[in-house]
Amino acid sequence: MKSAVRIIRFVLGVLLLWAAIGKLADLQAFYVSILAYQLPLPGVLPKSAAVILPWVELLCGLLLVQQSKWDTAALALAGGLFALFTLATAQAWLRGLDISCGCFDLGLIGLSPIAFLDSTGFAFFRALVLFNLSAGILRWEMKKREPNRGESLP
Amino acid sequence: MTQIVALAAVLGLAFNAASPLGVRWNPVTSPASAAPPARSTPPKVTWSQVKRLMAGGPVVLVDARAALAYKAGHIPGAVSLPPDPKSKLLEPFASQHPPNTPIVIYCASSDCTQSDTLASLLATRFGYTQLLILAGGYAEYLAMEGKQ
Repeated sequence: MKSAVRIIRFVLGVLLLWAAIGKLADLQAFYVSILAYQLPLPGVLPKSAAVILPWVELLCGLLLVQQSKWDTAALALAGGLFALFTLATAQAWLRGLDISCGCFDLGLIGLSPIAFLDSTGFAFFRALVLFNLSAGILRWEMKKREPNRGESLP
Repeated sequence: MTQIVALAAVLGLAFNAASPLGVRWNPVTSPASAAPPARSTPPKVTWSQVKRLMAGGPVVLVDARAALAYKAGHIPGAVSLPPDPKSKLLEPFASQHPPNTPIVIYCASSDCTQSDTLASLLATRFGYTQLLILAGGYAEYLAMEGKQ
């Protein structure tokens, strides 16, 4: 179980790094991607998100890949991001918005855009799976720590 | 966790300020060209004003609704261009129309926001400066032309 958790953490880290690098390569495109979700947000919020979110992803990705002592915080933050992406893509999908999610740049791995992989419906299920994976690992870690805490009590 | 977000904010702001493809806080400008600054919100026009504009010279009509809605019906002569930054239609559109082309963008009605999103994309990415938005969208066109 421990090695499976380690592998999932690593995979989540790599995915976050991939997502971050694609966004950092063209922040304006990511900003317009956020606008395309048509969320009722004040003007400065989508811009702030476009500037800060890719760096949150990059830092979380690095910490998860390195398996550092900060990786539980990084995992919790990544879970929050995945929850946010799940909600954003769900509302876009339900409203029938014809947009690409702006999540992962297939060009970074030498692939041209694939309509299905870039669709809002696929993005929703992907974000949901990633959220469940990060939440599952966090829950497992919390459970693992509980008996230790009990043992240390006098 | 707070430290990670704070570090991300500092790095993000610094990177954005240095990046040629960074988000411009205000006003929105073209990153690479020397085009004059675009308006952050293009002016809204009525269908009557659009018709007068079209009678006076070439104007490009752009339908910002989803491709399916465009296929179901659109203003004659309009080009379909949903506001997707990764759309393959953007580059050919920009290569056909120089940044000073008058462009009227519309979506479904006065309630939709795709026109604003597309206007922001065209101004930011390609430096379009003469963008207008049909205030009442496709619904206004249908009502004014007696098609509803």
